[in-house]
Amino acid sequence: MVDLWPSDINVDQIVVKSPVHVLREQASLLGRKTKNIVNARITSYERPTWYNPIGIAVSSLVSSPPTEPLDQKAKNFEYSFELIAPVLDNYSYLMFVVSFDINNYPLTVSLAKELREELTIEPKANNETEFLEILRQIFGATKTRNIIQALISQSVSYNRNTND
Amino acid sequence: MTTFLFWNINGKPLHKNIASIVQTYHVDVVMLAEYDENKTVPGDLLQLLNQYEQTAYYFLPGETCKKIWIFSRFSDIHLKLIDDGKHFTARHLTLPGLPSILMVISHLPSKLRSSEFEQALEMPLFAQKIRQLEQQVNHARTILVGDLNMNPFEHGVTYLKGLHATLSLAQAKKGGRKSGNESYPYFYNPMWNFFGDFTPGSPGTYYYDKGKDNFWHIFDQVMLRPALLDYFNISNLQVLDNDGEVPLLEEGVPKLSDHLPILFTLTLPQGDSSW
Repeated sequence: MVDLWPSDINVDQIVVKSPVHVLREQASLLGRKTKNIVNARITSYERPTWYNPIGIAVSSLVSSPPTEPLDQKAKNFEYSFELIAPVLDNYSYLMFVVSFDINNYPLTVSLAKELREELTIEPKANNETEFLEILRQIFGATKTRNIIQALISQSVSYNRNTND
Repeated sequence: MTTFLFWNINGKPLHKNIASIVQTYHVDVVMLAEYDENKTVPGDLLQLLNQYEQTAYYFLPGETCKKIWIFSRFSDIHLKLIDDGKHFTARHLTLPGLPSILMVISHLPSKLRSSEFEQALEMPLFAQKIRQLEQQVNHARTILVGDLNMNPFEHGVTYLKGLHATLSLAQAKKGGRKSGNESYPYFYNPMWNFFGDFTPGSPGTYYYDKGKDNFWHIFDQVMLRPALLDYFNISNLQVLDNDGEVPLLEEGVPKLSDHLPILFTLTLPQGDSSW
């Protein structure tokens, strides 16, 4: 059988870091900082059904006549970024959702209400550098710090430095 | 090699002892029963376990089961909660490149509240639950570990329709037995090897001096389905009598908790896709 695929397609040579990879790296760093008392969880996000009542599931392959270019509008990736406190029965706080298409960038960031009230950031990143800057502002927000601190303080005993 | 620890800590604040065992024996999965939230919180133990840069443990709570707490070097992606009830929690251990393992961790009702007869009557239901979980994960590479509040020789543990746990490795390797149209797979129960004085370690795992017989019991047990037997390191199975620094016995009986910890290891075949 003739292999028609280019030889430089392989899983060992990832040249583009996807936004979800960036999020997972940051999640891992949070766990390390808090000794896993507060973790971040990144999961594929499904918007509530009311968000898009007409749906976007119609396949462009079916709807496009063969002479017209295919329209790839149908598929976006969306990931949520939640703070999790395992000790508090896996309490979770949804901080934001990132949305992007197959090209990774530009991406949009939808913030939780309290963060949106505090931050005045452009919720759109055209590349990884801009995305990292948005994340830096979200993680550094007073609201974020307060939530993490509250989760930590509820997860450990008040006088934790004394002997058991 | 993956190292597991189970300890019923009898509601005592034994964080330092637990952390010492974990560090001494390089424990990957820590399973604790009778953790008293009023005396201590899991976040404190998490801090202690994660005080060294090179390790990162996670606390993996259950949903219904509040009697068993799990701390692990593997996150909930790799040690996933698949079911739990009042007296057990079931986790699916899926490590990259290794065959997955079903872990059923239990703390069954005490003899103070259930007679031996009542305990035995409950076991067919529990055994059936384990078989259902095996169907759910589509394999029978199962470890049952915990404080069963029964000795390895009691009917609930040995009976065909109970846990069906045998003391013989050769018997366990036969796979199981049929009764009517039903098949009943064996567990191998290596804890029989720890009874009495002339076996490694203390005479049992649990000491109770208000009873009418025995005093020493082996309520804390690990048992394995036949599919795991070749990967179970029998020589690494220990009933610990010290935490690596401090003895857990005083005048020959447990002094911190009334139970002693059990430690065991599995060496799974890397990249074996035949499973």
